[in-house]
Amino acid sequence: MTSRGTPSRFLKSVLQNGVGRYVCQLKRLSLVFSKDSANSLGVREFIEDGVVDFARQNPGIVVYVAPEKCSIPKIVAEYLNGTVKEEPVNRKTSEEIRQLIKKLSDQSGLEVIRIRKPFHTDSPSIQGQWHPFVNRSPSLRVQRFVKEKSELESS
Amino acid sequence: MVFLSLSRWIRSRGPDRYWRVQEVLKHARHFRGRKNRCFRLAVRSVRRAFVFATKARKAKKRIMRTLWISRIAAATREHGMKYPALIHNLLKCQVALNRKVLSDLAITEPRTFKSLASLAKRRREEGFLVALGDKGEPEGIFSRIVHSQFPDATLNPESVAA
Amino acid sequence: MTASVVRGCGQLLRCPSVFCKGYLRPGFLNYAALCHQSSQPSKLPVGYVPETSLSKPPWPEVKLPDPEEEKKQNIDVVHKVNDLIATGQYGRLFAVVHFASRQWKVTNEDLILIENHIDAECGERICLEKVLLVGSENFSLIGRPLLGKDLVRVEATVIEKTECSPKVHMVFWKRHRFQKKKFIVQPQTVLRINSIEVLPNLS
Repeated sequence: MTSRGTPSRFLKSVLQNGVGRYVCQLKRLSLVFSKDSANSLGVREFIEDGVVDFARQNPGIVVYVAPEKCSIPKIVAEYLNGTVKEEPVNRKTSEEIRQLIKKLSDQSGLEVIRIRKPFHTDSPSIQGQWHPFVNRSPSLRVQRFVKEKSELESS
Repeated sequence: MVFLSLSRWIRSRGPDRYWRVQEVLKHARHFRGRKNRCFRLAVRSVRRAFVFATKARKAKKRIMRTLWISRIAAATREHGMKYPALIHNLLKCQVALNRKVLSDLAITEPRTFKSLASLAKRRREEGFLVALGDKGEPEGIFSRIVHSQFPDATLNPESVAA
Repeated sequence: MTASVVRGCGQLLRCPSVFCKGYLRPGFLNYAALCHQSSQPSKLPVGYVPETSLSKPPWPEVKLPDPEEEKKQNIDVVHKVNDLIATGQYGRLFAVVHFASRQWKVTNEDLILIENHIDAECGERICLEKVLLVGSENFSLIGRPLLGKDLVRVEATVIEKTECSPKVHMVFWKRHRFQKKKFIVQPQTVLRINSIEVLPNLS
């Protein structure tokens, strides 16, 4: 949890997301649950109520519903940059699962670690970055060489 | 001989001590010395590390502000002014840029910073002229500046005596 | 002559009721003149005040340029900037924007991270209204304190709404058996600045 003890990254977006069109970064969502156990009651209720609406509102996300024999129900989210996120949904209500899925769809697949700077620019300086000679007169560059009289006479 | 009830006398003192210890040690892996291996020492060090991180998050704001101020002061001195004069006169001109943005402008946009410095300089000079009180200085004020009350007088004793 | 003036001042200081204002009084000048008759009558310039620590202000003398010339120059500058903006002869623009209680120096296509929740959905376009400064390579428009909405338009898209990585908030008092540990997870929003436009409506 300390900044030195945990990895960190700079703020960035996946393939310059917002510059042209915005693309939702979540590509696949799999709901793994069991048909009978009490753990997946919330998941089953969510599947009855909200999954179809969610899938219609987000046409870019593919939703898989997989009833299997599993001890803990989970949601597997896959993103466009390849990251796979598994979230256990054990004994959660339908409302909590809806909020969790909304959060997963808003995220991009970048890691959730400390972000070093809250901004990122590709062109930080427009008028030219400061260097020690910016505010000094260009006459510093000029040096006059005066020939000695003897040299002038000899030439 | 077979000890059949030997297994009944063994009891588990909690199956997950290993994972509880690892939770603390994982935050201590980059420490120096035995405190990155031994739990007893690691607990104290990790606790100190978390407390320092909490305090540092508040101190970072102070440190950054002093850094910005020193950078702005250096940049204004290049233009022949001082930091307090710049800030005071920019506020008087109703320009509400904060120190972070001023230091960024000084580094990446030197021309804009120069225009801000000259604006502050001009406002300062106007302030000086107003302070000298050519117009509007009320009577009865003990002014620090000495004005000659008799611009026509000459210190010529013969003329005075006459 | 300076020495005589100083001595005269010292004598006056004994009667505070007389020395109520910090300037040289008429009677005093006569007194000084009568006491010390100099052999060389010197004609001093009009408005002469002898040099003391209070004769001049502590700041260097200020001379402002001629107001009419200045007005002409200012009008020229404004016309030039208007022409530049109207003909579109500027390259990249930067702006200083006040958003989420912070000021950001912003250009096109750059990312900003905001440590709170915003009501817009992902992919929606937002206009950032509080603009303090707009500049390009050759001119900058400084707002006092804000620039008008009919002058600048800064547009941004919401890209991502996540939570930050968990931060530890720990308090510990030694020898008091007091410690608290809490994980703080704050919502974050990432904005991408799409465009900064300056409209040629300057006055």
